[in-house]
Amino acid sequence: MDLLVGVDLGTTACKVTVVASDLTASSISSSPYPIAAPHREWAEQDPRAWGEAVDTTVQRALDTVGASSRDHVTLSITGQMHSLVLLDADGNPVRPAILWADRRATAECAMIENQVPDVVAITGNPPLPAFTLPQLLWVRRHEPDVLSRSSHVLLPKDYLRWRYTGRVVTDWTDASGTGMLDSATREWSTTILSALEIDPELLPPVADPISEGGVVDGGASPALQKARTAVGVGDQFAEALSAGLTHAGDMAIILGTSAVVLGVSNHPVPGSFCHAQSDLWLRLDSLHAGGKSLQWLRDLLAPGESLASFTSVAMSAPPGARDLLFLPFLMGERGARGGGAPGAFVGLSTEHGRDDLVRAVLEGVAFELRRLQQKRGTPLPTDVLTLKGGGARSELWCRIVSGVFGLPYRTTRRDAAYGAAMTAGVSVGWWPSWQSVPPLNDPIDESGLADVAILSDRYARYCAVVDALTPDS
Amino acid sequence: MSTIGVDLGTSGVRAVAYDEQGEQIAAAAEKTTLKRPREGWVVVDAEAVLQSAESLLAAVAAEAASRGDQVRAIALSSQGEAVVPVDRQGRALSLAPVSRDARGELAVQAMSKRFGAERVQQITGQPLNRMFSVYKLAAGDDAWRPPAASAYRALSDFITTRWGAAPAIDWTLAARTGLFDVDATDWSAEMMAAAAVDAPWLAEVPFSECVPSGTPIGTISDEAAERLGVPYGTALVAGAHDQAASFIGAGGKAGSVSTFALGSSDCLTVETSQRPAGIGGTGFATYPWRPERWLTLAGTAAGGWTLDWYVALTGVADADALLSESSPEPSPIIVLPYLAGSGTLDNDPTGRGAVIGLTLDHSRAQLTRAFLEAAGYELGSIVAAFTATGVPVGHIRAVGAGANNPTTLGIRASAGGVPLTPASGNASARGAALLAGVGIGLFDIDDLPSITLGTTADPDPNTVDWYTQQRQTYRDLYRVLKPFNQRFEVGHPTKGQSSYASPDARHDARRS
Repeated sequence: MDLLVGVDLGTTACKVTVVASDLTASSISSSPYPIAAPHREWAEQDPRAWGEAVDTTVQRALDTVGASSRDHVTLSITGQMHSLVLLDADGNPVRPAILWADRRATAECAMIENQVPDVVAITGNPPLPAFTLPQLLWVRRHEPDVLSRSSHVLLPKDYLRWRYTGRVVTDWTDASGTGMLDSATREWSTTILSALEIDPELLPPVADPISEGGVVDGGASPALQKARTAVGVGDQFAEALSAGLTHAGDMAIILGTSAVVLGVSNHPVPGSFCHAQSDLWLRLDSLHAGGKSLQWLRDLLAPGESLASFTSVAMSAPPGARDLLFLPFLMGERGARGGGAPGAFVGLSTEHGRDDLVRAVLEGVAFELRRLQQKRGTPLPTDVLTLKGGGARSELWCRIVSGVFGLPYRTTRRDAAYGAAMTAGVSVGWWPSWQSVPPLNDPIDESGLADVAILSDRYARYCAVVDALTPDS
Repeated sequence: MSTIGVDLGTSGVRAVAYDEQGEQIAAAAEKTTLKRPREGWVVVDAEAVLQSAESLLAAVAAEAASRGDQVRAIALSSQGEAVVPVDRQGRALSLAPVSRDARGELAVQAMSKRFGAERVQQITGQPLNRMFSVYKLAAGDDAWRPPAASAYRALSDFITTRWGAAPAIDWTLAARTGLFDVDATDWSAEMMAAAAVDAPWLAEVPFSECVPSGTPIGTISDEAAERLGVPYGTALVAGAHDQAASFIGAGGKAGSVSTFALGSSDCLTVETSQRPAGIGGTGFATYPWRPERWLTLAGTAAGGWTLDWYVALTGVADADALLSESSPEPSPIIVLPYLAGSGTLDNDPTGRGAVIGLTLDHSRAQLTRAFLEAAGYELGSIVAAFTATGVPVGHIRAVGAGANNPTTLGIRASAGGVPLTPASGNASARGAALLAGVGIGLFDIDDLPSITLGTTADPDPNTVDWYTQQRQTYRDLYRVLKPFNQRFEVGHPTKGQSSYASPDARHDARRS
């Protein structure tokens, strides 16, 4: 049988989805691997721990579907973007990977802005400590011997694929999150590399994500032997593909730990990264404290309670949460200079109960996503909003987001691992193009539209309060 | 020989007997249940308060008697604003709306339009605010009108008349009805006429006679004496509004000692010999309790109440344990504690609270501390406002349940930038008992027995600069968010509605 294997290397665990030719999918997740924080604001992981987790989980997933060496398996790996993996000439990691969540490289960001004034125009984004380039510059400055032993700069999914196939390559979606890619040409920016004296030899070639990533040589599972691989995409792009975002104007929202608005454009706009398709770009507008806001409130008020049960108390609060507003800037307002608006509850009275506070958090995150979408000019879809991520399992939260955006919604069980499997499928010709991948057929829910009037009133108030509390506004 | 003070608080009733040195000899207390029959309404059952007062008084009198002591006089301290209509037998005809009941909002708007907030404050000494009884009376249904209603009573005279006293109310509680002329020390005909335009029954149903605190108002009826287990002929004496009683009980003195009561509401009470000038336009309330003895009150409607709300929200059973676990370091979070309207400094009943500056890194201990600091910020702002109008505050004695915890008192002192000295015991019941003693000549009003004080909580010198800055930020944040409070209120269809709406107010409501 023909099988597609999608692997999603997350920050806490990996997930493997196997898709059969009848499009039935089965998934398995690994046990979590640790994040090390040897210093404040650092976040590191051992790439070898990823490899072990992926080996084991892929084997279990293939065993579960009864795959054998007679089957035609195509593998595609997606994973956390931006994180820096450094390998020596023999392919051994020379230091732990510096993760996207690491905040150490702030001085390097300033240096990049200083030395490459056009960096935003070239890459589409200002340098952030999360990006690969500032991390690489940090290593060069603080651990010069480590860099001198390094032969390859790789991204997490490319490291894993290299382990299976020995081919050093990356794709343009992941590369566009490094801070070094020319977003228009989809090649490494010689302007940036020469201004910062980065040796281009350290960087892998940039390929189309659906191009061949080599054949698996060795590996734990017999069924994986000789499997073909696709180069693959970064995890946000796998999410976008699994949500069917393959046309300019498509939009989806991921209600994860961070909440993200994904929007597709047909030209490189500020804040965008290169889409898997060569003629599209993907905007990622994220609110760091999305689901995290809810976890935070749960930890304050009801430590130990499950998030689902904690969230469900909000059902007894009316739309608008009795005029209570929550500003979800618990991790700062992204992109705001001068600090931005603070995290806050505004409009409290003794009439408010826990249900109102929880509902205010759900609404506040939705308001901020709407504000991000409007502020960045991401076009709204005309028909339906696709909601994904752990938060989309809450029907209440979905209805709130739907009401705030004034669009019916649907959710999908497809996730980044499924998106990776689709990448594998397109790469081996299961589907001739991204547009011919079977679309989502999940039911469309209009129940959130009943609250559009009250939520749009509260949204206007939310924006006014955010403006009022923004310094120097 | 003893006197008994009975304190009718918002959250509970307490009876305490004191000896001739002003030392406590017996005490009993129980909680009061507030009801919220509809949105915006908060009421207490006056008959239940009476029963509670009687059983507690009986218990305390019995304990005093068991020590061979004889009760000589009784006086009440009481929450203000709570008024009921009574029938000819003095029985309550309705539940009593308490201070935070919001039904008077439309009557306030009508009064503002017709009469002006400035004039109201000039006559009554109280700001124009829906908390005062008159605006709730104006929203009254048939039970509040003739022929059913034959008199209006505050909780204090509702109870003392039931025990046989003449219908008399002391000046301070009269002032809290919003109909008392503080300069003339009598009911204001002008206010009465203004309120009666929309609520004519106000002119037809009488209030009790107004007397200074500490005035004898009768002796207990034989029937009540038997029921309560006190000697026949026990004197009944006019007590005071609870904030005034706390001030008297804790040894407050013009120019040198003020009191800060940490109860359901937080309230700073300051005495002057003349009516203070320059507080018009603020929400500060002022009234005389005796000739040439004026008290000015400032605070937040929800002080302890905000803390109670926070504790309930966390689901922690032991409130004191939660508060004691406050972060030892100043909190970067700022709480605006206006969960039941703004502080009196701003006199904005539509005020709302906020918690600002939250991040993922903040612990519950920091959040808890921020709620306590808020009381200090408000106190610091109030002290600054008094100082700006030339009224000396002097030393501040903290009274009430919230004053007993040195940790939380220290946080308030640091955040407010003012030393706070805890006064032990129940200051408001003690104040009432001292007034009872004044009424029978046991005590000299100018030389009352002093109260035992605890260790002063001084502001932490290491945090003075930080908190000076935070108090400024606190005030700035209030100003920034104030416009949104008002918009919140308008957007709420059930707020400020009642069975009564003046023609003007109805018209205005439609227009807006």
